[in-house]
Amino acid sequence: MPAADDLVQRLQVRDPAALGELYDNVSRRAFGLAMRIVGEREAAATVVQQSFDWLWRNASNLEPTRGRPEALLLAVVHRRAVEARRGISRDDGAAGPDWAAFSDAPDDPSPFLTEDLFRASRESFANLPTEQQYILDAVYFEGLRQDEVASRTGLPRETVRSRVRLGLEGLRAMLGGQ
Amino acid sequence: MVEAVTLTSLRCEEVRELLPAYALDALSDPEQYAVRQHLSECGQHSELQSLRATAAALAARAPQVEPPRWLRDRVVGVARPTAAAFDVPPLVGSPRLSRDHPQTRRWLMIAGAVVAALVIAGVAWSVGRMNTDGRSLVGSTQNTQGSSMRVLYIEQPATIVMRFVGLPRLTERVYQVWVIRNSTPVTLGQFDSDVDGAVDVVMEGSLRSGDTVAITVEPPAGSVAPSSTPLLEVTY
Repeated sequence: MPAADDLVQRLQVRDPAALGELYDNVSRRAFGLAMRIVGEREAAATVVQQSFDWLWRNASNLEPTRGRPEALLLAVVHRRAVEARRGISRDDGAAGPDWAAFSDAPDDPSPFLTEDLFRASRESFANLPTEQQYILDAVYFEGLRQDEVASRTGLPRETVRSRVRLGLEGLRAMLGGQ
Repeated sequence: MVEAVTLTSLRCEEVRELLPAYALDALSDPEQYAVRQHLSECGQHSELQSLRATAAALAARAPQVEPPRWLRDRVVGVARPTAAAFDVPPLVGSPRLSRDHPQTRRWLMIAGAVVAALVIAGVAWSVGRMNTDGRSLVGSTQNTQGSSMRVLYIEQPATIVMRFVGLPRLTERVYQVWVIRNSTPVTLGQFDSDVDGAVDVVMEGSLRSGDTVAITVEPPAGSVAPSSTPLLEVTY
């Protein structure tokens, strides 16, 4: 995916125009995700701004062969939005995702959050059992840990745990094991 | 907790059970720590990658929402001073700029020109009040802790450029910028200061004579009104 490679390379050398391009590519998704999690425009904008800021400062760690920067940005937005919702604030060093998780990515960056994958993800999600959908949503969008879901719903902890596991593994299988 | 398991030494099989929740950041802190420990010593869990990608794809379930218009300039505004601080050449006149959108290019060239003038030539601050090109020096100030701020205002597009020297690094707090007009503070946004030396901050905002530009230290999400005495302030 040459366009992504080019964007990553320009981000690595901190070309400000590349940041603008990344913003144009992903800002509607990033803002929508932050809104869904924190529920308020000003707080969502802060999350998005700080996520771009984090990515920009860590841009020298990006690698063209290891996933699209849009995917990384959304992962940072998710992490930060969840932390904001949980009332956690960390210093910036700890606020990003594990680099290791991205450094082991497959060589082909295309599995990462293309529009096709997004569409497939929505469709596949709808095919999961309802109780798994509910728990994945609570974990992903409400930032609840699985034991907190158990306390809130009154479901046994092991039930919640197995639904989280089966839900995510099921989704992965439907997405072709990507 | 996993029943009857010493979390500090998980077996591969136990880690495999926990990985989906780990990929979703849904484990308790001790479990998360134990899994991370295990992963740092064990190369048997490449499935984490696909679980992460699957978890990330859950973002698709959030609707896309148009962010506020000012957010783009604020995000891209971070780039210029940071680029300057990292000593990345050249901010202005790069052929790369021509690939960008016209609106961005305009913003970049204007903001870039200002910052480049400040950073590279280092003369813009020293010439006093300028009225050519709709730019003016709002003022400069220094506090007893050795931090200083100089503020430049560009009329078109309405942009406030601040240069800070000697700002303390913050953890778990941010600096928030305010324009105070008729005793009412309006925020322009927040920034982190995590580099030593000069920090240039470019923000969208208009100024009138009599307005005060001030910065305060605030919680990470910012505050709706200043929660402390301004660290630095100058009046236009």
